Amino acid sequence: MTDAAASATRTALDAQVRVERAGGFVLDAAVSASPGETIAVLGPSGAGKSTLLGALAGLDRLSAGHVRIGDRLVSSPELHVPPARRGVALLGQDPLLFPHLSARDNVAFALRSRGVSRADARRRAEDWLSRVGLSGLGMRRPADLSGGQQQRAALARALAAAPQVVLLDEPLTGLDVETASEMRGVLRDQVRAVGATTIVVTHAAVDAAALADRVIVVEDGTVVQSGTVAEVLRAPATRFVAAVAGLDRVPGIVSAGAWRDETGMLQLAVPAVADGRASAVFRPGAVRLRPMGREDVRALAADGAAEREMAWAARIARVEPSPFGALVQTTAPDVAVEVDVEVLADRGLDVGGEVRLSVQASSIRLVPMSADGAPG
Amino acid sequence: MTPRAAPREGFLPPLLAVPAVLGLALLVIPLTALVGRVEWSTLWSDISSQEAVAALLLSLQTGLLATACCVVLGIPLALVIARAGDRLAGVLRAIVTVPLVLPPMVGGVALLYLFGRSGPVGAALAQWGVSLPFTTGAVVIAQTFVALPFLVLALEGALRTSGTRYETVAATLGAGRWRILWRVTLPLALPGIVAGVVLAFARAIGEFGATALFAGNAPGITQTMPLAIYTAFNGSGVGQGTAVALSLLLLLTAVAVLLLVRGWRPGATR
Repeated sequence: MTDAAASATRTALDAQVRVERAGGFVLDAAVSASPGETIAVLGPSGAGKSTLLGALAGLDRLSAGHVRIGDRLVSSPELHVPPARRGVALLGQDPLLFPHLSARDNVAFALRSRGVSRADARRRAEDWLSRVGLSGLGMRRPADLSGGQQQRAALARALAAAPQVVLLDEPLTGLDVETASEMRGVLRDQVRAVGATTIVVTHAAVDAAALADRVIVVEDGTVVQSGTVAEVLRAPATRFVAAVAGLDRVPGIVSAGAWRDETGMLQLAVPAVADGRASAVFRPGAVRLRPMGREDVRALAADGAAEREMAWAARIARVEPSPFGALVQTTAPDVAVEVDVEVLADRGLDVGGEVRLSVQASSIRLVPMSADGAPG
Repeated sequence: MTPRAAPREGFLPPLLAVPAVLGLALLVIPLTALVGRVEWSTLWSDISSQEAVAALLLSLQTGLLATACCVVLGIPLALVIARAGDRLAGVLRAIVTVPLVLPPMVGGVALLYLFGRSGPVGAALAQWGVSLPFTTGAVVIAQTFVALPFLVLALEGALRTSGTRYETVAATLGAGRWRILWRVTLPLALPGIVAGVVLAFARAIGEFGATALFAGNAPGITQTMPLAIYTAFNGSGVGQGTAVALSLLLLLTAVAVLLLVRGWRPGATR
């Protein structure tokens, strides 16, 4: 007990949650944060990110584990402190401002719920609105505010509740690019100014990088990777993280001075690397693509593991527009290739067609994998 | 090039207009016939006769009281049904619907057996010297009985539609259950409450069958407008002219209430 109390004073949030949903979905994840820290939760949709937030906020009950906020136990299979008494604020993709109240009264609602007097609540609500850049718009109804303004008001309302922990559930997803960028700045500044411990669920690397100190990656209801934002983005442990980081990731094995992928198609001589499972990580822009010639087929077959370049034959599965041309998704193994507009115009890239791909060895990073898929 | 919007009128067979117009005529023509039968020369004296005024006042009093009872009992009932699990909500909704589809006469008989001298509640009340049947109180109970389902079902629908998302937000902001009810749930359901209250009041004002059986037809005590119209039309007491005049008054009241509600839609975005 004294151990638990001692560790609780160091962490603002300590959660080890197991939530079982009808239909067989199980979330089993741990997250902890020190006071004022911001942690990003990355994961594909349906991975259990929102369920994790629900468990922290008290919207979902635990079947095992615990949630501790500060030194207070708020969730366990036997104990369930209701959301109102947790000191937790939740801001989602939908601002959910009360439609029948003005922006100011929405913020004042949070203050009034904490027992602030009516006049005081109004004054401080105006103050909050000006902090998020909504001075003079307090009397407007939510319907008369733009999406970005609504999200700002919702942030002001959430922070006005003076939460110990702020939970942000994809708060920028519904906004257009420009508004999202502004809102990202407002979020970062205000959350830091308040000094609240923050958990932000997102699927964008840019949000994690801008807002968070650390990141945990949740897939299929479990944490598959955690670390600082830079660490995780540099060494993605799964295909999803690689995609978020904008990288290609091909799992494989190092043995006898060569790395090979699981199909054996890709080989790279790596004399100085110890044996073990490792994935090759490279940028889609580092991959060179050219049409497959007859001599290539023979050369690729005879090549074996080269030291300067890794080359292989691949099939085009999909061509997607990208800001600089096209992203060509190839299979066996799954690799995305960034192709310039000129290349695209020169060579018709047909879905199903064979191409020769190559990456310079200097552009490839080998990331060791532990047996369970996380980097070791 | 934007695709053309589908024509507003859709693709109805033109022949449907025939039964549609007939249906409309069935609703409108009798009412115009009623207006045509009004004897304008005696209208004022018909309406201001002592019995007519007594019936009008009694109708208003009992109608408003019954509506108040519906609000006090119906709003909580609607809230409970709207937030109950699917199965329980289905059962409760069915129970509430029964008085709605039941002939009001049957309701009157049932109330009489419950509150009558030999009835389970009536016998108990008799010991205290209280007898409900054939009193103004009986009128209010009968009206509440028939009007309550209207308010409950209208409000329950509105509550179910607005869902619990805003309530969840309010809870995470630290609001207690009563604050959430008063500041979030009820204001959001206000259009449903208004619709329910209007429907309940209209139903209470028009109530005849259950009142006639359970409360009787005593002028000034239980003779509401519909009963006064019936009595007048049967030729006892006031004349047929009075019946028509009172009917006109009820019609105008109904139209006024409808216009009032249309003009005032709370929460609508302007």
